[in-house]
Amino acid sequence: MTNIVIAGVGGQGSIFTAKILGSLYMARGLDVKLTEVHGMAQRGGSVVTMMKAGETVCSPLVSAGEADYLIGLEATEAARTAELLAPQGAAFVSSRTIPIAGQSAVYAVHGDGWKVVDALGIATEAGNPRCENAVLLGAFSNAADFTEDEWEAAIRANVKPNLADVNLKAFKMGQSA
Amino acid sequence: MEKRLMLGNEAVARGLYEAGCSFVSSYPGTPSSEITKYASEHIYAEWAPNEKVSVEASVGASFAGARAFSAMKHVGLNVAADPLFTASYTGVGGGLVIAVADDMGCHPSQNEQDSRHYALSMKLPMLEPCDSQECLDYTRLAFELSEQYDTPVLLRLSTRVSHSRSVAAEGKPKPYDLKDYVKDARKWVMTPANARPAHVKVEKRMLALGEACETTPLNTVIRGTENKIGVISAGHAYLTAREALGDKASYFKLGMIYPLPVGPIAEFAKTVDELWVIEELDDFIETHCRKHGFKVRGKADLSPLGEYTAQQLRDAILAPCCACSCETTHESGQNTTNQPQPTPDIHSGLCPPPPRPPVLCPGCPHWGSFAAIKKLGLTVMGDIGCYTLGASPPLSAIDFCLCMGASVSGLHGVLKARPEFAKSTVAVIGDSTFWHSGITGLLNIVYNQTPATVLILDNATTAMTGHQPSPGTGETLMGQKAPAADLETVCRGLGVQSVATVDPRDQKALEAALTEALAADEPSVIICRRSCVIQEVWR
Ligand SMILES: Cc1ncc(C[n+]2csc(CCOP(=O)(O)OP(=O)(O)O)c2C)c(N)n1
Repeated sequence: MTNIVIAGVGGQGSIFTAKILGSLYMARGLDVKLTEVHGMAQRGGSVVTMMKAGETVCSPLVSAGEADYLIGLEATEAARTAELLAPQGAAFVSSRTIPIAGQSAVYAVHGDGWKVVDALGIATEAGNPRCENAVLLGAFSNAADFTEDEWEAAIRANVKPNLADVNLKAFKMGQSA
Repeated sequence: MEKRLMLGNEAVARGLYEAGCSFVSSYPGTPSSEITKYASEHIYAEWAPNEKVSVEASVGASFAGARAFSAMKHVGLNVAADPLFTASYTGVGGGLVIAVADDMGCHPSQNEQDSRHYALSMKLPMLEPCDSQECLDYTRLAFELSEQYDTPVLLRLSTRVSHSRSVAAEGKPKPYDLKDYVKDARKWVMTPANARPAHVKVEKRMLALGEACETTPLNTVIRGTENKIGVISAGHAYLTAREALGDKASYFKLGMIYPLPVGPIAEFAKTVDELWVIEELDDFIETHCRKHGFKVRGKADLSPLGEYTAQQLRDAILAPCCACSCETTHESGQNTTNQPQPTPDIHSGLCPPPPRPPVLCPGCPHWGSFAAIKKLGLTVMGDIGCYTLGASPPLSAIDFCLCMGASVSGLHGVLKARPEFAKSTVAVIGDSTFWHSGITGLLNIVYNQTPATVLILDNATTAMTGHQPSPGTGETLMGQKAPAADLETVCRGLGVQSVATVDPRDQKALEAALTEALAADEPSVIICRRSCVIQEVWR
């Protein structure tokens, strides 16, 4: 079973990220379940999306200490979900923090051994700041066992044709970040 | 057939299409909204002004011989309860299925009601899928059941089922020919003289359904490797139970949750040492079990609040004193919260940051409306929509919020109780919510005369639930142009003399309009008009 948690702020595209991962594992013939957050939380609230892939998946909910991977589209939100990560799990997290309304304090947001990536900077350089998630998927791909072709197919299957190239570029740049 | 990752709601919509359903009418509400949107890709679907209208329209389509459907969130069923209670008596023409999506955990809702009780009190069969494949299959099946037993059928969903994606295979659409229309007043005209025999018919139907549920293949036994623990469960709670207990337990998985069987539970009970009912929210299945004399464990050890986690179930069920079937009573009250305490994570050493609640978007026109209200220090009767976010800091500008429409009707009650509050209290309601159920409250203000001030925040969309069009926006779900209902004309038509329209970014104008309205001795409406910012970006 592979359990992945994607943490971000409403509007950052966590669902899109999860759908790419879902296609990727499904193409390997695995059972896949994702759980998403729609509605009110998307107004800038915390959004946690979970994905499980394996022989047979029961609930898509990942319990504390059970995530193999954490993909953090935003650093504070990644820290919030740190308890879900397994002790031997790996985290790929954006260096970016989006302030919480009414909070000025700065929190330690990156765990030991986490791969921290300037996802926004790289996405902007790739040509579209909204491709932060593709950058982080690129970073994650170094730890996952999928071919370039599998990744490309999964990305193409989930983005509008006119945005495929910039997403693939951001993905590649994320790989070497 | 093609297998793909489908959202639960998308799978329900696919089921509608495959079942030959030709009329869908709903009012949006998280987590049910995507069903109707997806349905519109294949069949006729519309947004009604509210759930009562949508269900009545669906009953009409069923009366006319079509397979019809309506989806709503749990609280929407409260609004639609009136027609549905009696549609239980009339039965159906073409199959009629009503989906209701509960929200364990109040993800986006104002309460955590358990809609299964409606099945019992309306005397309607209810099915509950646990994943997308079941969403699709049960939707198709619900239409068959509806026609076979001459009854509307309830399809119970939940946030986790509606908003999870899992692998589902599409089936072949089966075209449905409209049933012939036959005039039949005894069936369709619910006067007391017809309702009494109709009630007899309903009771007989419940007996027949009760018999059918004893053998329905929707309820299945999944055997584990040990016979210690048996679990009766349904929906996402069943998936969580399997996640938590795996092969250590056996399961009686219910697909039909009303009516509930007796024989198969007795059979299942015989094969296990300890029988648990794992259900989120109320003890609906547990009560049925106890009524029939089964010794079960459930809510004494498990919370009636929120969504279960696998850990919570393991703690309650596998903890030493729970697994030994001893008679210890477990301290209840302990389990009434799902909120973990903030402690540093042992692995990362990170402390969870403070919560990040949703907020009004930057540039949202509602900011302007609340800024003027705050400046004048007003008491606010709030309503449901994005503007409910005006209740959280830094605005903290809302003093009351109950259900859709209650800002306007509630303000009337406030002013009857404390007339002097008229100078410092306003109601705030969104455009979609005004069409849903604000109109009748405003009619009451005019009729029973309070000098109320009502602000309609017209952002030209139903923003909170995903930007659905509404009667005021000039377009339909199918993308056709429609006459846009005009707020000013409607308010004047209801008898409000003082109707002003302002741009909420124009603080001076809004403050002036508010000051004038609050001072007036008659009802006033101020329409704060400016389009939603994110809608603009998306277009
Ligand atoms: C009876 C009922 N039906 C549906 C909902 C879901 N719901 C919450 S707010 C809302 C509509 C909000 O639209 P509007 O009033 O125009 O405000 P906006 O979000 O655009 O500011 C809906 C449909 C609900 N809470 N209660």
